[in-house]
Amino acid sequence: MKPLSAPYQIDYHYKRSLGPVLGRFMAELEQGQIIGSRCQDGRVLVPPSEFDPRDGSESSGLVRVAATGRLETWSWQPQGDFAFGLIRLDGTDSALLHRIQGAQASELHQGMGLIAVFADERRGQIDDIDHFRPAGTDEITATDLGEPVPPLTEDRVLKIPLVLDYQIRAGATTSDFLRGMARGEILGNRCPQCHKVQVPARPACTTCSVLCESPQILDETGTITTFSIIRIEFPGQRLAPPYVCAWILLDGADTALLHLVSGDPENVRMGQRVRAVWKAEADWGPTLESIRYFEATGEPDRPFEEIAEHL
Amino acid sequence: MKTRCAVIGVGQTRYAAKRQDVSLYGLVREAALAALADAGLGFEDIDAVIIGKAPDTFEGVMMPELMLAGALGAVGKPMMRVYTAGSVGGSTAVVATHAIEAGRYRRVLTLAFQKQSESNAMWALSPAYPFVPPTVAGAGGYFAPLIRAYIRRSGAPEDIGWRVTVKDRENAMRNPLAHLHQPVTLEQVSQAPILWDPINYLETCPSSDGACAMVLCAEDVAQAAPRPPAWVHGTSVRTEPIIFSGRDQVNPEAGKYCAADLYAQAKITDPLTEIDCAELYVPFSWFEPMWLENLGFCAEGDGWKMVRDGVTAMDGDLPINMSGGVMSTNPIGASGMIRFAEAAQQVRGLAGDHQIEGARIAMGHAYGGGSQFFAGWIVGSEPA
Repeated sequence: MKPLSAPYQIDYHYKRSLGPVLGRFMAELEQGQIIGSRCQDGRVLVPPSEFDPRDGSESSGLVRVAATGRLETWSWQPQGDFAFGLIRLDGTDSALLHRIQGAQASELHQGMGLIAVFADERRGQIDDIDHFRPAGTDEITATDLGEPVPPLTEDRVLKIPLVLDYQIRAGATTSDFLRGMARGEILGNRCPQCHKVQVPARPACTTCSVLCESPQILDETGTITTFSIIRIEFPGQRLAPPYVCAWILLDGADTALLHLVSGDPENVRMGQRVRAVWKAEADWGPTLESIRYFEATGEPDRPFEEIAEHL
Repeated sequence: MKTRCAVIGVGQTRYAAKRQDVSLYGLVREAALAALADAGLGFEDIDAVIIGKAPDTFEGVMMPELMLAGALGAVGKPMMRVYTAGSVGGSTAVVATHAIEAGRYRRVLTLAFQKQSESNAMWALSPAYPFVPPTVAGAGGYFAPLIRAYIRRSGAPEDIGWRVTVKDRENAMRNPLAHLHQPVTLEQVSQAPILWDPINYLETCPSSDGACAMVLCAEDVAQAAPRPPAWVHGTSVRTEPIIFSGRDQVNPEAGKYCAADLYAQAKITDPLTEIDCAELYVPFSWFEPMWLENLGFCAEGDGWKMVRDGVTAMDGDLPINMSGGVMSTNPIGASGMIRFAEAAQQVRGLAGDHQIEGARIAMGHAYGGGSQFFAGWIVGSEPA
């Protein structure tokens, strides 16, 4: 049978602090202006940099630059009818990556004159320059650098949305374990060498590195070795605190399983006897979440000495 | 080993919850330029740059070594990034030390950083993986059951966790770079709200932005350095899986192996008397007694007694976390390197107001993952 897989998404809006140089660059873009940084050897870089990337030396200042430049190289994007181009702005020494619109693929050529077209609504981001378009000869006038600009003194933070979609694939043995969960069975397996039973079942013993025996169905009762009561709240949390996360040593197993424990958190104890409470059969699936949580059985606690080696 | 290795430059940023005054470039340069100035060197003198940071989800920057090469003067030079979860600051310094000891480079800039304000550490450390229930609740969620197990096993009274916080916050008052300059009383710690039972808010480290850098060099370079060097007497990194039958997560094997390896290299037979002070990776106050035991400073079960008796205070026999430690400053990826660098500053005699007078041998320590990755070094004021 094929290993199981399931989607997993990372989705966060990062708060990128820009610092005095990129902060000023974004503030100027908002005003429809472009700035560069001057290296100690006189080269001018756009976007500006706090340092000369060639040797790490501090930049000597910021300067306004022209909105016109020359195309160095490009990649045509047929599906969007535009090109990504590297554009060297007049009077500067590095190329800026941006979109080129308003020209056919056949018209693009090295050294082509281009001019920045600013967006009507600007937010202090690189796409405040909407795109570059071919410039008429009369538009390319000021190739001199403009006046110096001071670095930004106030903090400026740019929100960077980042969404990454993954497909997490369980291995063959883990898939067997998960299919067991979908049947209402907890599968573990034994190491032929140390005879310890690990749960979830794994292809090899984590201690001896030898292949394990075929999975076996384990009891649904066990003992809480140790636990935490989660009272903190955090972004992305799926349960409302307080709730109990516990390491549960199933009867007959030698590794503990991390799961939730129901009931009043204050009544949860190390050594407490618990049993799995399954969801309704219709809701079983290939996940440990087929078990809703563990609940106390009411049996006497196991003495600490019996669980001490499983902490 | 072709040559001994020494620390001749240390640089740290000012630490804060949010360093929104600087970019990532600016943050790492603040530490790197300070370390180079301390060593009397410039980027042009550096042969290789070795950096480390914890998970990329903290800043959302993949392959930070590529992004930061220009900012750290690494263009045209070897540059690499090390990753071993929270212990990375320590293991990065170990990799850099090996590069010197192997005779491959004579001057290495090593740096570790984290800018936690760019995301949220609780979010970044609580991924909602498929197939499992939502039992992940940040680092505290993982370590709280281990602390509960330690308390049960050792019989330690509850005030031990409070005492470590009080000590570390007090120590931080002597460290102008520390993130938290907020001394607390035992009463305040005891009343703090519980976050992950049994860990309360004040028994927990902060989230910080910051970077720490060191210049490591070969013996002949160290002898010509403008300020006193710290000599590396031993380095070690040890690892273990997150789960295996019989795993002791409270007192992990890998930590013990790491310590034994360090003491063998540094020819230390009685760490408690031979080591003058140590910077240990203590992100939750209870880890101070746990690591004292794991590192062999006392018998298993006795770590909390050292805390109770003030042995680990600034004026005790074995001061721990003179800088205020992780409990006062925690840019996760940098925290291990800060421990290593602070140990070096002690034996260089350059630790300022948190200097232990006459410190000659010091330990830096880091751990990460689910208590799986351990890194340490022992440094001395004289060559080994």
